[in-house]
Amino acid sequence: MGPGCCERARAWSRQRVDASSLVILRVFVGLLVCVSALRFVARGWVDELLLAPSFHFHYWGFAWVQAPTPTLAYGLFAVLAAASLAFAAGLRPRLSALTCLLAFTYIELIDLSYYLNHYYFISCLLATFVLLPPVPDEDARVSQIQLTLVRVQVGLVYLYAGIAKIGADWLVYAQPLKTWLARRADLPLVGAWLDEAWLAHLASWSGLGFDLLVVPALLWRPTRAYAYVAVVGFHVITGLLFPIGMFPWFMIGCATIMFAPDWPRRFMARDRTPASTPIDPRLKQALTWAAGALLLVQIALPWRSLLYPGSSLWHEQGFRFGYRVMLIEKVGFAEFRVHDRATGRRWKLDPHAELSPLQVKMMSTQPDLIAQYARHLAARLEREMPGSAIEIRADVFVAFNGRPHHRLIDPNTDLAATREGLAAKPWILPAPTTHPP
Amino acid sequence: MNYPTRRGAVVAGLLALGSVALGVLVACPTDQEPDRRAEVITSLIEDQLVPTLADARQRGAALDGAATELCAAPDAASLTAAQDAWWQLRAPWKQLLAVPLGPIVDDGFDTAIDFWPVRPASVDGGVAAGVTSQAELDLLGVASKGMPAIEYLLFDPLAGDEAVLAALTSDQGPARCAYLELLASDVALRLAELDDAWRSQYTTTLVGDAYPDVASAIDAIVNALISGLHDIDDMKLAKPLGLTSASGADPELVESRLSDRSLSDALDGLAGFEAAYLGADDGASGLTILVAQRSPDVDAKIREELEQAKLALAAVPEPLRLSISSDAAAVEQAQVAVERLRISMTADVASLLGVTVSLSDNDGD
Repeated sequence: MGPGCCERARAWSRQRVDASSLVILRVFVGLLVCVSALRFVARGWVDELLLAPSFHFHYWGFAWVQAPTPTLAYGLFAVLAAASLAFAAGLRPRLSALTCLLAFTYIELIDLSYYLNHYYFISCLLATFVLLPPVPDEDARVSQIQLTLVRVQVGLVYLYAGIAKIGADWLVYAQPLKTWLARRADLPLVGAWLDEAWLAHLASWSGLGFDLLVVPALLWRPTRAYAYVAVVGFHVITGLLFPIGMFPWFMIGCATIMFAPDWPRRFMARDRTPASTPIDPRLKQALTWAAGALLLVQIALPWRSLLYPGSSLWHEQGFRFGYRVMLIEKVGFAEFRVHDRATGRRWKLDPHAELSPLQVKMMSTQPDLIAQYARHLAARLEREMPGSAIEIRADVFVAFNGRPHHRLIDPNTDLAATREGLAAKPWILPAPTTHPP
Repeated sequence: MNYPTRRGAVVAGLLALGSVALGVLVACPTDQEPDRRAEVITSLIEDQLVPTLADARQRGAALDGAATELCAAPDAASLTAAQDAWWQLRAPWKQLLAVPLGPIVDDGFDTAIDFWPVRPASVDGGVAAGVTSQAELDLLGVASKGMPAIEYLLFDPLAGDEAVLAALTSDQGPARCAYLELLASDVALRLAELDDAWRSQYTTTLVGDAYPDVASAIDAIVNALISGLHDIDDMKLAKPLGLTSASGADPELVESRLSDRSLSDALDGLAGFEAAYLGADDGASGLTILVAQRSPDVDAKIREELEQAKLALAAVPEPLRLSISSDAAAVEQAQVAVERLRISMTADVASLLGVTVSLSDNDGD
């Protein structure tokens, strides 16, 4: 790459483009975050998921994030709802985006077992908006690089969702769609087809094609309208067939950023959005670099799963923060065996006694959560029984994508003695070699 | 660049693609068996739950009558009749609890009728309080009433029937008998309410107010069966055996320890599971159909593990309150056998049917 190329790239990034598509995206995201916050409260999830459990799974390095008191929890949601509305309205956009980011991410960090790809996506998108607020400059435009960074942020979700689907389970055995579609075989008109294997295969391949091609199809003007119809159709159908909450609506809104930057002008007679407060160009450049770095981290993170031997669908090491959406139907059974070395006594512990059903369900298939809970159990029992020396082993059986169940964890490993970290976990047993049905 | 031409080509291409897809959709032969989930649900409700509940209601009324006769003329014959009536009611009741579904759990009938292990102090408290009316009984907690409380008043495994009769005819006998009659009447009333609740609130497909669609109803049934197995392997066997605590075996935690019906209770639970899994016609209408459609191997495994569980339970020497100490290995073998069945239901069957789908409204993607 010669200096001319760099120069052209620099010139391209400095081009001025219409800000209105970013403004519309800001409104979408602000409103949807607000709806998400209100929905979470209205469904009683603040009490059920955040306040009721006596134990929460923490993210690695974030053990300091504690479950809030009821006042703080509801306060966080109130702040999130208010800040998201302010963000949608363009009021102090950087500050309101920062407030949204902090409140949303704090709530997200309370319990690792509630991890969702689209929560991660929203946190990253909000962080981008903190660095580069989606408001027009004084000329009612923004730089090409600002728009591009947001487009890449949105496009990453589709790209990595597509890459993750390139595998035998998805493409050869049409799992887990075969299982999930068959659940809806009672739907009127289309129900009879949903139980058909060929339809699951067709849907799997179509899903792969959609994820990999939709971003270029949205960017290319001749295919844009059809691609967006496909986006709406795809997300509405998946939203109707599967209980995936707000995710479809976020993506339907976010996909509009791939349109021509001035597309809202056809519908907006006058742009009333206030211009952003000018800042030092060097600071702005630094913030742009920071937004780029954030994207590079997101681009790199999914590939870390290659550093772990075996199937990441099975061991889930390096699985999170990778936009691997709707890839596995996994069910587990976990029971813990306690051994007190001080007295020689042995007994079993059912995690349902302390954890919520959702926490048990999510923990039972994820080795790092199982080990984290084992360490917590050992610490708790040693506190309750002074003088005891507790070892914890686990009997964990997991069935995924229709395969018969297999042991996930070495039953002889004392999980209480394991350490939290990113190193490969030798106590995870190999994935079953059987194929899905 | 001739943009309209390209757009026309794209439109034509998409239309062609759509036509091909439609043609494939219409012409493609169906290679799957029909969706039989609604049929399985209806069979479970019509052939198992509703008749078993009607049977339990009838037997509850019989227990009520037997308790009245016992108190009218307390002697060995009337005591035996009342004990028999209690024993007979356990079978359909325990089979129902193998599929703890709908109002059985949602409206708290399970604990209202069968809170165990019995707490003698709570029952004695009810007797001592001189409770004589349904309104007064309704104010007491579940530990003071239900079938285990009746068992406490009718059975004494150590001192025998003479001691039971002596207690019913002593100075405190009238109060004890009045309380016994009230408890039996209450159980009969609850069973009638439960029966009515089933008939009035639940359709034979379960789809409606209770569950929005067939998939949710199947989810509820499979989860209920898993819960019923958990009740057997964990509550009835592992806990009394001391497998779940550091304190060792505890006969006080044995279900029906006063009547020594503990193992029969567990076997009735497995019978309820078997009836739900295999269906009324031994495999022609139960959940087995759906599992076998997805994987004959998993279905065969479930049937095999069910047989092993029944054999292991039947091999435990009576009574359970003694064998948890004298033959702990046999009890543990039975516990492991039932747990193995529960693991296969939890992991394999749930996974095949997409029951505990890795998606829920809050774990979306």
